[in-house]
Parts: sequence; structure tokens; C-alpha cells
Amino acid sequence: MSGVDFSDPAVIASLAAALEAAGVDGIDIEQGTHKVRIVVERGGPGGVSQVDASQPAPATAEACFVAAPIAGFFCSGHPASVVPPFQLPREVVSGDTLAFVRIGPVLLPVRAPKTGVLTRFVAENGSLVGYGDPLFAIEPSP
Amino acid sequence: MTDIRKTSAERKSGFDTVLIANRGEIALRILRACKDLGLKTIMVCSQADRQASYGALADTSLCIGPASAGKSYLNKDAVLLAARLTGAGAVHPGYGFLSENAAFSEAVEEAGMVFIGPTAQSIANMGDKIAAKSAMIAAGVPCVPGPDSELPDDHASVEAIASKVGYPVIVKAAGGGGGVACAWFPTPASCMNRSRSPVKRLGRPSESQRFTWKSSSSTRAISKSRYSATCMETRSGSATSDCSMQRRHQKVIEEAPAPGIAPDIIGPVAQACVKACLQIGYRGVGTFEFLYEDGGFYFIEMNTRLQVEHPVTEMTSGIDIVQAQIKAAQGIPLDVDQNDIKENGHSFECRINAEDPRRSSRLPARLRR
Repeated sequence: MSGVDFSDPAVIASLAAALEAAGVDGIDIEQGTHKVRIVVERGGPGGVSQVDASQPAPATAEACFVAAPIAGFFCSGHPASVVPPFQLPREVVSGDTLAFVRIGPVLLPVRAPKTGVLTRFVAENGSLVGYGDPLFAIEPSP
Repeated sequence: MTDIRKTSAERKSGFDTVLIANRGEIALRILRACKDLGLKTIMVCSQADRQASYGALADTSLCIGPASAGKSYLNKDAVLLAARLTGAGAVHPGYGFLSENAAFSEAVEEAGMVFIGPTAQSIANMGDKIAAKSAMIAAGVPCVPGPDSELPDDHASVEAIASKVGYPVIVKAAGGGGGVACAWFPTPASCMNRSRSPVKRLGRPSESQRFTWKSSSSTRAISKSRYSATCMETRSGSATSDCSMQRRHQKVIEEAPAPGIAPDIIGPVAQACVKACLQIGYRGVGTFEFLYEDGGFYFIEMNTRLQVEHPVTEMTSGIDIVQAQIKAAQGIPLDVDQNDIKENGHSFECRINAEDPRRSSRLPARLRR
């Protein structure tokens, strides 16, 4: 398996799709110092990859837009969550999981790159987004 | 929402949506052919091409990765993911990037989509220049003189083979396409201990196979554009063009038809190409490349994709090669055969290289009107 880039979410998505098609529940892959675990949740919205989806955002004093780390369907909340969607604006802390990009059985978390106030979603829930498309805006705390 | 989990090993020829896995001129060319055929289009792009004007002409446009081609246009998983997300029925790779990648062709078809190009097996066979030459010999295509096997490692044996073939000779890396991974040796002294240089130029040390062929300082390179249908189709056609004018082993001027070569010399070679395609079960568009000298054609390699210079053949033959390629992938029989192909007029295509005229070195630049 040498040469496979497991930091690429598209690779993870491809593997997850293959696992689900084969009826396999999950897989652990070790390559050098890297380890990837993919778990397929039956009857649920799918496994969550180990890839860190947070992206560097433009460093401005104003709102920063958080971009999609990969092409997929935008989910403003976890599809299986029973908690009602949070109200905006909302205080967020760097590292908080704020949304997901869904690729078939894979839900890729999108984390807050900085502490601030989540003021609005730019992408519509359920819409197809491309790599680098703006998903939501975080403004500095007042 | 498209179900990404849908997979199928069964190839479906019918499709109404094509994902264009390329950029720039060829992406626009494929888009135009798709629209003329009433097909929907999905254009994928890298971050660098996000603002490209042609993206807006597609029915759907999706950015698949960063500016680096390795993380976007050459990223098999990212392209395949985009195809699955958008519900594409077929993928057109254009030229360059993934167009001659056997693993990608296979992955597209395993995902239940149509790869608009040859099978993975054909790409792999023709990509190995030694295997390709063997297949052409078996099909009766005239090949360039030289052993159709791998060169040995020791220099004395290489020199003995080169002497037997007769200088000047060309040594080429078996896995290298075009003129990049080959070296021309006019004399035994020039060849001394340098016969491995094509492999080094190829940059893939694991692929160390080389082979040799006879060359000539006056040799012309004739490219042979060919169009045919799927493996179920028995008719096919071909037309010629000339690509002798080269710089840094890359074509500078391509013209059609090949000038100064009588049709009765070209005819049998064209028929041999058609026969070879049928014999190896080739589908779609491919280009046979020959060297020509003193009335004889000598096969050197086959490109298993749409040729960059395909418009010169389209201009003289009146055939839309990209549309023919897409229709072949849809399983629609080709509506011409070899005898229907008549070449009218003469066409040229020129490559513009941005170079520093003082140093003769490459100089990337913006082209302005």
C-alpha cells in the first residue's frame, strides 16, 4: 500500500465506499508512522474519518470564511443528531466541530479554525460544494 | 442526493452526463462536442482554475483540489469522487493528466461509469513500448528496425546490438511516451556508457527497461490519427498528419495530410493500423506514430488518447474526432469506414513556446492579444 496518501480525504472516501459495498464494518491501516481507522456505521449516516478537516482561513481582522476541505455535500449539523440546530450568531472556540462535508458514508468534520462568532452559513444545507468553497463565516468576538 | 455507494463492475455504454477531467483548451473542446451531442457536462477544476471563464459554460462546475495538478487533475480519487457526487455517466480525460493512466480507466469502469477512451488493458499494453512493438509486428504493422526486446544492462552487449542495428540509433525507455525519454546516438563513441540516460530522464527508476531502434538524421515523424468504434464495431478509419518539425522532442508544427508521401504508400499502412486495432481489441481514438524514410513507414509507438493536434486531421477529413470518440463510447457504430475518409485541403497547427530568445530557455509568460 506504499504511496497511498491517507491524508487525502478523497482516498478515505473511496476506501469507505469500498468497505460499505463489501459489507465490511471497518478497517485499520498503518503506513509508517501514520494510522487510519475507518468505521462504517450500519443504519446510520456513516463513519467519520480520522482526517482533520480544519483549513487555514484568511487572516483578516474581519470575518473569515471557512472553506470546504473536499468536494461533497454540506451538512450544517450532524445528520443523525436529535439536538435542534443551534441559533446564530453563536460563540465558537477554535477546534469546535461546526459542520460536516458528507461523501457517501463518510462525514468529514469541519472545525473552527479560530475562536470567534459564527455569524452565518454561506453554503446551503445539503448543497454540493467544491474544494475551497466558503461554508461559513466566523467574525471576531466583540 | 446522489448515492455515492452505488458501484457496478458492469460497463454501461449509455450515458447522458460527461465529467470533463481536464482544463483549458481541451476541456472547452470536449464541452463543445458534448453540447453538440445533447449531453450534460460537469467540469472539474483545481483552485487555480476556479475563475476560468469556460467553467461557467458547463452545466455543473466543481473544484476538486488545490492548484497543484498532482492534488487535482492528476488525483484519481478526487476526480472519481467528483464523478460519483455529480452522478456522471462517463468521464472524458482529454489528453495529458489521467488520459493514459490504466488504473484510472479501470477505476472509472469499476465504479459503473464509462471511461471515454480505451480499456485499461489497451493502455497498459501500448504504454509498454516493447509490448506495443510486439503486438504491432504480430498485426503486420511495419516496425522500426531493432530488437523487439529489452536491452541488456552491460554496455558491451548494448553496443553490439547497436552496431548490428546500425548507427545512428535511438535508445528509448520502455515506459516513456513521446520524445522525452529517448536519446539519439549517431556513433558508438556517443553511446559509450550513456545508454541508460533515457531511463534517468523518465524519472521512474523502477522502470529500467530500454530498447533501441535504428534512426536517421533525415527521418520524418509521421503521426497517424485513427478513429474507430468500440470493440463490437468492425469498421474503423484513419487519416495521416506530419509532425516532423519538433523542438525539445515536442511537436512545433503538425500538418495534415503528410506532405510529399503518395497515397499509395500511405494506404497499406493505414489498413495495417486498422487491422492492428481490431486485432488488439482497441476501442475509441488512438494515434499510431511512425518514422518515415525512403518510402518506408516504421511504427514507433501508439498514443492511446485523443491527440493534442487532432484538429489538423479534423480540418482535412471533415470528421469531428471528439464527437466520434464520445459516440463510440456510447456504443453508437461509427458511420464511416476507411474508404469513406477523403482528405481535402491542407491544415497546420502550431505550438507557441514561450522562451527567452537570448538564452533559449523556457520562459513561462502570459499571452496577450
